[in-house]
Amino acid sequence: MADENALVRPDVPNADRGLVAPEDIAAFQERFMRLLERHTAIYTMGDATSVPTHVAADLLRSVAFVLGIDLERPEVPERLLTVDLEDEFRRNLAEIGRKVESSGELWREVVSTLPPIPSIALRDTIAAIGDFPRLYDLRSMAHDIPVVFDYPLCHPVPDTLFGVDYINEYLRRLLVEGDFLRHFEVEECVRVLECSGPDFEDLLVNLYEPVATNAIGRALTGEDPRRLRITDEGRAEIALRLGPLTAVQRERAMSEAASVTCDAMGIDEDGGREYLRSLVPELLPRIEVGLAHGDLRGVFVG
Amino acid sequence: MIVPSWQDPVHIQLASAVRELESCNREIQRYGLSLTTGDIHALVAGRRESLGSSDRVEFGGGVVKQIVLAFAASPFVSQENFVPTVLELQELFYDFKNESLEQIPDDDLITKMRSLFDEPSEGDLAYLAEALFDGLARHVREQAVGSIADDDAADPDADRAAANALTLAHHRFDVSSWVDDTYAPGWEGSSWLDE
Repeated sequence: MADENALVRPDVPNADRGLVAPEDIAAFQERFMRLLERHTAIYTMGDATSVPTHVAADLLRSVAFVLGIDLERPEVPERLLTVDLEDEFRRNLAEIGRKVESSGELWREVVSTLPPIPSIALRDTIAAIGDFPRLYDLRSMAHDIPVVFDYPLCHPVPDTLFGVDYINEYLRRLLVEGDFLRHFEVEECVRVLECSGPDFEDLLVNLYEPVATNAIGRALTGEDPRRLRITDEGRAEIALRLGPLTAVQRERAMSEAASVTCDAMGIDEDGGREYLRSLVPELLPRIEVGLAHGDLRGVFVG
Repeated sequence: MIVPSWQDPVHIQLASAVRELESCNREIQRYGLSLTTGDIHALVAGRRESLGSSDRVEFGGGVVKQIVLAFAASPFVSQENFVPTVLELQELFYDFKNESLEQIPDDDLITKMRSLFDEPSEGDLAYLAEALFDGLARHVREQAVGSIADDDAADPDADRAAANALTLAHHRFDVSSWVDDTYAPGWEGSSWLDE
């Protein structure tokens, strides 16, 4: 059975499905243009037949987003060649509506579970996301992300995501980070963050990364990762263990330490473990520089 | 987006515009006017040029048919000057849509242009342009600034909804049949901060 979500290129022969006829492509284009015309009329509430080019571009991006068309690629999902585009649009729009409801649930969970570590950027970003449903015009600008994200995640949301998909992924990652931070005493987290940068409250810094880094560092030397303090002796021990290793061996050692950290926290779900493990490749270049200078204080803070 | 080499989206739009203008002749004949095939192609080409220069995009046949029908009855147009006049009116229309920040619906603008074209412009397009840009545009901008500054203004969303309902009920696009329950999501779009 042909995969209806497969992409189709009319100029590339497909062994399973054969060439897509040019007239089918033309028919799709005509239906798509009609859909775009209708949604432009809806956007202008029937008041205008023309819109500024930048508005038309946004409407195009919105319609494409709802239909699941990637405008960066020359193909469209094969399914769209045969379905009623209006029906498909409505179905997908309803699905986006459900995703916005999920956003609300995620947001409330973030608000109620984030540990009380002071951060102006985090506070402002959560407030901004709280206003998302009021600002989100899913009918006409479904691709839009009407939120300013001051707070940087340890692992940023890919810029291939748009609209409510971006919001939901941001909130999921925030939950993962918050869940991890809740395993530590707030005072300990604050101490590590102050060592990382005394003005962390006022700056656009991620709270998770310094804490996670220290936890991994302690696990690496067999210390309890639930305590975060790393002394000069601790850093010396880390240097002793990582220094002689090759790059590949270092990565393996750090990844194992990340796993040990998750085991100690009782983090058994894949999202949290993978999130922590993904920090390791980012730490390795800094560790290499630190080892070269005989000083790991820039990586594993006090 | 797949773009076959033998047909591109612009063709679809041009064909629609030509069809719409061809249907005008029956109406404008009573004013002693008619559009030849050459005239229609000139108007369609002019439309494309005006949209490009005003950085706008238009779907379907566009507004040129409305302009033709609205101005055919003017005492200041003739068979000789009709096509050049419509071309200039078209350009003026798109420029003014930009200038007025999209605040004036197409129908209202065309009605106003026709009114000013007859009096006081008496068919003088330069005079019409001056009247439009100096008068209406200033008014629209003042209204826009005033509505932002006025803290006691009525709820703009409610006003807009009421105006939209009336527009939707009467406009030729009749979008009311498209905006049905399936377009309305379950939530009402209010901020989670209000909870």
